[in-house]
Amino acid sequence: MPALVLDGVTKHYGLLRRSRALDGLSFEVPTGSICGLIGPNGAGKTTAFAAICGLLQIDAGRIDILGEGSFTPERFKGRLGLLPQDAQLGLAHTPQEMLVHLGLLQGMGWGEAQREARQVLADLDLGDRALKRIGSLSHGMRRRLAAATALLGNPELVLLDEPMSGLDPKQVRGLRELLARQRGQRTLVISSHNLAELEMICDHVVIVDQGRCTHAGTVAEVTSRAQAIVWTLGPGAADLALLYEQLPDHQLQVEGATLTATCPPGTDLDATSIVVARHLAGAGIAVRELRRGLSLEHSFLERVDGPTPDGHEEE
Amino acid sequence: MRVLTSLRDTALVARYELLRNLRTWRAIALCALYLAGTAGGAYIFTRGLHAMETAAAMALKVPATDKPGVMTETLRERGDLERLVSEMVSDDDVVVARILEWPLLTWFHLWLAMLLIPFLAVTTAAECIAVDLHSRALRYECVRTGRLEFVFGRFLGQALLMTAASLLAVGGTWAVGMTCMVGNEPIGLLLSLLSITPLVLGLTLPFLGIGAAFSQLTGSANVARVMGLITVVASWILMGIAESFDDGDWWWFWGTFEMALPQEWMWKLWQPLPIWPMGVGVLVLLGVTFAAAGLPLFARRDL
Repeated sequence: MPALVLDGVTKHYGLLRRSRALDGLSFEVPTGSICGLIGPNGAGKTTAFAAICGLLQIDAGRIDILGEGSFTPERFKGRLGLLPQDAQLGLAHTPQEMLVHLGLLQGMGWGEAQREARQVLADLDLGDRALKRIGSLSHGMRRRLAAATALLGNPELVLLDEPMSGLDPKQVRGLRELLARQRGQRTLVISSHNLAELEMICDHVVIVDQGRCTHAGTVAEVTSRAQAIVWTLGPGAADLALLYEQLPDHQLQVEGATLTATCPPGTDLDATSIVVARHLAGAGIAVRELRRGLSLEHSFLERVDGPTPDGHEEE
Repeated sequence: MRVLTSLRDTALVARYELLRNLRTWRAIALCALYLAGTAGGAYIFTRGLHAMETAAAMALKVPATDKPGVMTETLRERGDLERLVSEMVSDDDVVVARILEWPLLTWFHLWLAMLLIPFLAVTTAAECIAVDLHSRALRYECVRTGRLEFVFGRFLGQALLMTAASLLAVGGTWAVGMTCMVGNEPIGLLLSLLSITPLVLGLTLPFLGIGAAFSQLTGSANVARVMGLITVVASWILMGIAESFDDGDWWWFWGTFEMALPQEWMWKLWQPLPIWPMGVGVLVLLGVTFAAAGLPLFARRDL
């Protein structure tokens, strides 16, 4: 059973309802997965999160959370965590106070709320700031505190809107590792423009554009991990004509220093790698990097903008 | 179970709101304003009383006192004060009796509260939701509790803040009574001031409700505040209009309309038992109703 189902969700804004934020958005998120929700600015990701949490009234469609229907605070008390993208934190309180308050609202007892607050603050490296006023925290610390509110009390479904935004590289790595540890224990849906980070932690991805889902599937499917191999080459020109003779069913592309081989289904990718490596070695071309599948960024841009025509030389 | 959870959430939101208020300039400003208003008003009242007593002493050719209070007590003992108050409240004997139970400063305190509180309460309550609508900070709470609980929690938080401000104001008036007047028993004055605090809180709630209702409609605290203040002024004007039509053909309409105005019930607070508790009860009910008036829109609005 999917943890989250959106079926034809539509949302208009404005007095005349002319601005369409969600246009029949439909996708499913498998239970226990870490799912990336990606799309250009204005695609509807934040609106989708708000609609899932009942913060927005949808005009049409159906949202099913954890197989129990649409969101109501009573039904999903403590079972759904949200990191809103642009909601400010109450500056007068301390992180500990805020988290205890939210924990109590989630239905915890006082002692449990205190424990959970301390735990999640420690997880997000904010333990030493627990009793400082939120107003005195840096932007990055506030973002981590906002993420802590979403993870508080081990909710079954967690929606994180731009969790990496404003964090320094060390904090990004810490948060990424924390999120990766949640795999299988709960379902995470993460909206982010940092596709490299998403690719590292997500196993599923949903691409949203203009309020619609344009593609959804596993990261391996979306990045053609089972079909494509990408080499980053050193100086020198690869003779693709010769390579085509050895790999007649493959599609080969060179874009700058990148060689991409798209293989027919069922191909042994290791065998293809060996053939190409031999060819490149024979031509005196160094291989600087090798990866299975396209990058998430490449796949995303192709699906949103269409295949990139410039810079591709198909021979 | 659902009701208990709902009440628990409301109390939690109220507690958090009170904590927030106590740490911001808003609470300090409210308490300072209320304290300054009541203590300053009480001081001016004692000065006015002193001037009257001095003039009376000169007319009667008796020695004037340094501090006011002695002659007023003499007037009270002789029954002159009763006649004076009786003229002020249109010979309403029960009200006169009730007023004369209190020290002079206590009924001035209640009268001043009636003047100040509608504006103070609306001004503060107008911020209770609008500020968080603008910053979207309410999203953290509204994914964890219902909007009904959220609204009434904020409303209750404001009421708790006003309770704190009212108790502080009692302290201010008591200090003026002890330092600038004679004839006041310290404990007696304090107890009588504290005894009218429920009345003060009763008359606070409808105006908090008006502020909270407008606070749900807009993300601008200033707009909510202006709308609330206009409503308060309009309610006084409507009260005057309703009273002027009391004896006309439409008396039943205006009479019913008056019942929905807090001012109608504020006067009941001067009445003895069991009328004043009933007045407080209706004012509480009006407060809750006014706060809930914004809920149909707030419950459906996008946060």
